Amino acid sequence: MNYFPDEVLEHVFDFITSHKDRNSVSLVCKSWYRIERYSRQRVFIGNCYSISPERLIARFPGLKSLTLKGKPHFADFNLVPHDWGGFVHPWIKALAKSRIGLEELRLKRMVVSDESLELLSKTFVNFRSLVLVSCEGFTTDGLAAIAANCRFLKELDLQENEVDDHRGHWFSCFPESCTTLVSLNFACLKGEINLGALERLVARSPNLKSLKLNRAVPLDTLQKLLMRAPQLVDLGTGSYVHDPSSEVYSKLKSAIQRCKSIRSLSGFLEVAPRCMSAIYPICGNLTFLNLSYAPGLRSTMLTKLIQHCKKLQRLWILDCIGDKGLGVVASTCKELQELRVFPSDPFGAGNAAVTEEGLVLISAGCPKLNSLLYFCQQMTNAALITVAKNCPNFIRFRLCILEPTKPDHVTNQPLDEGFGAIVQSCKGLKRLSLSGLLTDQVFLYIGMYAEQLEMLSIAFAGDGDEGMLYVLNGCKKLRKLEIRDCPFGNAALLEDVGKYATMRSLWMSSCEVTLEGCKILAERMPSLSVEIINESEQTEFSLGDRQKVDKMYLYRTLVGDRMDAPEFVWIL
Amino acid sequence: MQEGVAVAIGGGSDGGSMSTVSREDNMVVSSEDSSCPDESELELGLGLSLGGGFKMHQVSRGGPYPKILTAKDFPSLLYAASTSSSPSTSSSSSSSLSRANVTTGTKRTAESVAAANASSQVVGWPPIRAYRMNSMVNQAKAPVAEGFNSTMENHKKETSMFEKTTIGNYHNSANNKLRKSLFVKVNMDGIRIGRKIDLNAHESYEKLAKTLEDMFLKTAPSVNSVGSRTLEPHVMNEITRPSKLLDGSSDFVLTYEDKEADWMLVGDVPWEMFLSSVKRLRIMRTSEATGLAPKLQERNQR
Repeated sequence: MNYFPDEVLEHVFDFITSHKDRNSVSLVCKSWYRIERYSRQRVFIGNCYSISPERLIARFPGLKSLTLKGKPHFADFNLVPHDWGGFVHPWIKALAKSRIGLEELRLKRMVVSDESLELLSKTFVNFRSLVLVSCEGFTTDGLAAIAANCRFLKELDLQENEVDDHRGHWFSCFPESCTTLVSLNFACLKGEINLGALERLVARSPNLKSLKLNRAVPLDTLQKLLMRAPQLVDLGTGSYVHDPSSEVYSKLKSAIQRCKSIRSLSGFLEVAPRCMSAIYPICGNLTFLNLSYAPGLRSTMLTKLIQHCKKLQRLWILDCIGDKGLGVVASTCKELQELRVFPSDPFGAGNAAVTEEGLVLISAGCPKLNSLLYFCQQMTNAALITVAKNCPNFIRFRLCILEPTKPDHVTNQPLDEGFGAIVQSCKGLKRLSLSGLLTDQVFLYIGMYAEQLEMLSIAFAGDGDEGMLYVLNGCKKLRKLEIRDCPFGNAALLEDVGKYATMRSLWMSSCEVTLEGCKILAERMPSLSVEIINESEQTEFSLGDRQKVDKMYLYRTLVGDRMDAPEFVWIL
Repeated sequence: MQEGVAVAIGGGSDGGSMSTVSREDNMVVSSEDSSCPDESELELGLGLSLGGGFKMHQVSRGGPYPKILTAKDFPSLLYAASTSSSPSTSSSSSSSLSRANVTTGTKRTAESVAAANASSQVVGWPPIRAYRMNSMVNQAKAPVAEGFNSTMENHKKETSMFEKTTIGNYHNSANNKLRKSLFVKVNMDGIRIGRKIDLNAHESYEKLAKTLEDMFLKTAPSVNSVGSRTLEPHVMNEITRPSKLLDGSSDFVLTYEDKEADWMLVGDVPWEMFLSSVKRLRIMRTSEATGLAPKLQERNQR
């Protein structure tokens, strides 16, 4: 291969798209490293504090697409204080100063300011794609800057962000010359939208394939939009409420029927059940259906709908569907690969909840199932063992029994055997979340069998240090470990400190780890950043070494301790 | 080569070989998260100049969420246990350690976490994204037409985010707004220049009528500006006096134009229903109002 000129190698490398593979390519020899480095256009940074923007820019001058993740995963559940960090501004500032022609920016759990968005929009003339997932810190003013300045904008995708909505003026900022939109998702915005501007924008975007509306967009506007954009592949409705006997509704029905390309359907942020029949004609084409934000749809309505969806591959739904409803899913959706069942009543007794029965039915009917997120009231080992037998292909298995430490409700035993069966059967399992009553035994199984496991989430489980050690010693591919409320202490933490350099991060909260243990770890592993998040009144000096640490987050980093940590975060 | 296997310990960063540095870099510039499908889907997103076609695979996460909560679901919404990990509602400044309550999570999740604390006493459990939790809470306060639970009416809103909707009306359920001003025009027969009045600042027909009488029927109007927004203080003193506009004893009657452009007599329907259908008001001469309501004639003849 060394006889080939650089351009040929570069052309060959163009076909290598996975980050892992490109990393491997870069390590073969110096010339490959050089060629790969100049030709790399897409970079994924799983932890924004693991590397500095300057270093990234220095290595990849041809960077076009950057993905960054900020806060630890448990920030989703309010376990991380609001101003912990994860600011994107230093990245945008550094990129703006460089000669990088950024075209795509994808952020998850980061703090984004209007200033950042404005700088982004004004600096990179070829900017095309902005995807923000679970971010915060910006307002619709920042969006206005993006709309106004990014002349070739193709994608604006806002997923589940906390946005300060200054009402709908930002929408009018898309210039008349903007005709390049392919994907537009503003479902998470809470405020009013200039409906006329929206209609005109859709009308002049012939390439629009994905459109997700917010709740302020009423059904009659939806009808008009669909008339303009029958080529849509991915649709998220806003408010889906109307009088089914009205003319608007019948116009909507015919508009929907023309949308033969729709494969993904979501939204229904407000829904009148009697209007759901309008979507039956397109159900047969759907591969993804997300009704998890649709309030008040009863099980009978849901099953009636799903019976039309024979090609469904991914389904996100509320537990009001019930076990029987899941049975209908199982008998209808033979292509199902991913199922997410969210709780409609997370804190209540659960009237229309799902149980282990629904899960077993699904596993029996959907052999292709490889990804599961299931919130339920109860579970049994027997059910999990059956599921493991029926579905050996799980890549992601997340089970959440709503009541912490709840045992097998039939035998009153811990659920060790059930989860053990899952990890033993599913040889390709990469992500696992546990719940229910669990002893160290389940961790023994995990350490023994979960060879491909990359991410593990544990809560209220285990008996002692042994449990955590089984996992750390056994799971060679482990990258992210997050633990809360478990009796794991310093002995487990410190047994093999080198392990953490092979991982992206470790989170431990409300465990038995003490300040002393964390200090020792930090001392032995300078390549790690060990953060203590302390929300009590005590200062670093008054907190004794023996005191248990409430929240610890550690991660490997190439650039030492971050400079932007707030007062309540101590970096050891 | 395994990602992350070569661990550069002891900082060979400076004069380190290319392979050490790039290995370190590569650990960080790492593989996409297969644990999170979104990332690999994001990665396969828009093809740049590499000839890769455009792939649609966005994970859709919509907006708000279901379940009508009733009073029993929020036993202590206002008095959530203020442990050190419960969020303060508004602070966005970085906290000093001397403050007992550090803002946890996003500031907007105060209520949802409060609800969680009230019911389950465990922070961050069940593990549902804060965004989704917030949607649940907000959605619960604004039920859709069908399945409307009348107990919603019972717990008056302590929080400003509570909304009211009319019972069983498709159009209205699409209009869920926070309680803010609802200004409508008021014209009176014989007076060319109209006024505007904030209906949401009044809680009943009586209060509305009083304000209007003060605006239009008094010789020395006590309103201080066009479109005064609040009940004038002296009105409160006269609250006990029955409204002339409403009982038909004056030469004028109070009417309104509804959503269907019909002119209706004010006072027949419940106040909330009135609020949702009123477009503007007109203080009409009783003589013109004939035919609107026979009982008006009766009243006048009493």
